[in-house]
Amino acid sequence: MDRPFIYLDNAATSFPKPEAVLKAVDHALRVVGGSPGRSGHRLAINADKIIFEARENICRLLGIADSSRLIFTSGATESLNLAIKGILESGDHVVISSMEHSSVTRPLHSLSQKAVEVTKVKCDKKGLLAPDDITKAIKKNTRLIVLTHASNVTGTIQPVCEVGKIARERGITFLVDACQTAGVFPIDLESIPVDMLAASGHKGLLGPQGTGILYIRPGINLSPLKEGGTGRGPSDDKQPEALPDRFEAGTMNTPGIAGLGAAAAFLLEQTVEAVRQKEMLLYKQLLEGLIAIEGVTTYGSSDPGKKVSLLSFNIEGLDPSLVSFRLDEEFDILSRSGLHCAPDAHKTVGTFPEGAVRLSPGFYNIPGDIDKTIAAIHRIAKER
Amino acid sequence: MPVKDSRESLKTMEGTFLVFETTHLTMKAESTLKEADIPVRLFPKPRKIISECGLIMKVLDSDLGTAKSLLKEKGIEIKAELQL
Repeated sequence: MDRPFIYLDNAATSFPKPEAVLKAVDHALRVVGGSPGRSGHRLAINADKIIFEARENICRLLGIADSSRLIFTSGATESLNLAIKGILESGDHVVISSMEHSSVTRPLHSLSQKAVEVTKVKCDKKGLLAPDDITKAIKKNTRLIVLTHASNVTGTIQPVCEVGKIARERGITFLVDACQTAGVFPIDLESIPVDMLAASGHKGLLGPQGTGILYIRPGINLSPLKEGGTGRGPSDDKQPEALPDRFEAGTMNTPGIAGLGAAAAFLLEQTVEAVRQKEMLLYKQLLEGLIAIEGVTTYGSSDPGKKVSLLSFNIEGLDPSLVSFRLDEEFDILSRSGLHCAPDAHKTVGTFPEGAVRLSPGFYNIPGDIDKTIAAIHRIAKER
Repeated sequence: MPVKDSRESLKTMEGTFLVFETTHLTMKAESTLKEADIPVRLFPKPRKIISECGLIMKVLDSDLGTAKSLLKEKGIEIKAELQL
């Protein structure tokens, strides 16, 4: 479909969605209708099947053997809150990087008021973490290490396997924030040393907003963030122990999860490898175009092999908000400016407090979109 | 017509039923058995059965042995087996 704009904000939420996602949401609302886990009639059972199939599809996509360990949430913020608040107790120490999103730093700030100690390990100017620095930060009471798989500011992919090995050797739980990688970068949780993985459903996973996931490896015990009805279970006051019910109290977002399940099926068919290849061609085209423009500074690793498809930049002497506004207003190009809910990351790369403009090509962009974007930025930079 | 017979027989809430701990496991069991062409049907759980899942799964007696060994092979734990 021809659209009167170029959407380059897929790191915030992917747009458009595959047609199958729209159809699955419509079907869930129009035809299925029932509440999963409640009642025994056909519509409730059909809703159960939607949730089950979505869970299975996502598990196939992420290499998860036991699908009962995949929890549906309202988004990655809830997933990260559940993982962090579910495991840490007073007196515990947690190590994070300086590239983390507010959905990691804010829950931890709150816990730091309750005697949880937080160490932020500084990354280099390109946003890359040195695994040795994690080792140096570990203390006797370190309970958790949290690391973004790829920063939403720089797109730099972090050495999660190395950090995971460090954590595993010491019996420390390792949580990965995969918001910018799930669906666009191959992840096989059976083969990498990650204990918990949180992701949004509506970014690279191509599902609707209001969906998220948390994978919890067997042996990791969390306290639930919310407690309540799980449907048809025993009528006592105790939250069930069995997963996924333990962490899914309340009526589920069936239409959203239906869409997410269809999105996962779409990605399984396309393959994540092919999605990555396509996105990275667009990214390289964008990077090469922008670094050739006088006055433009780009941030993050210069090695496309260590990046996801997002590029933050600034034009010397111009406020990034103004650049983003002009791209929208004059050129119909949709970007995101500011601090991207990750002030520590901007401090790390030297763009705090102004922030930067972020462009994030996605599955549905084409090379012509990137050509037009480069030409627009060239014109804005020239007119300074 | 054995297929029609089994479908007819599955309609009644009498016979052998399997109970699983969660709705997720019930769905997994149903999907696993259907993939293996073993006909099953879900029913609401009677009040006396305590489990987190509110559904029970009817399996024909002639398929019970195969169904149980397939579920065991797939690591799907049966919480209880009951006759109604």
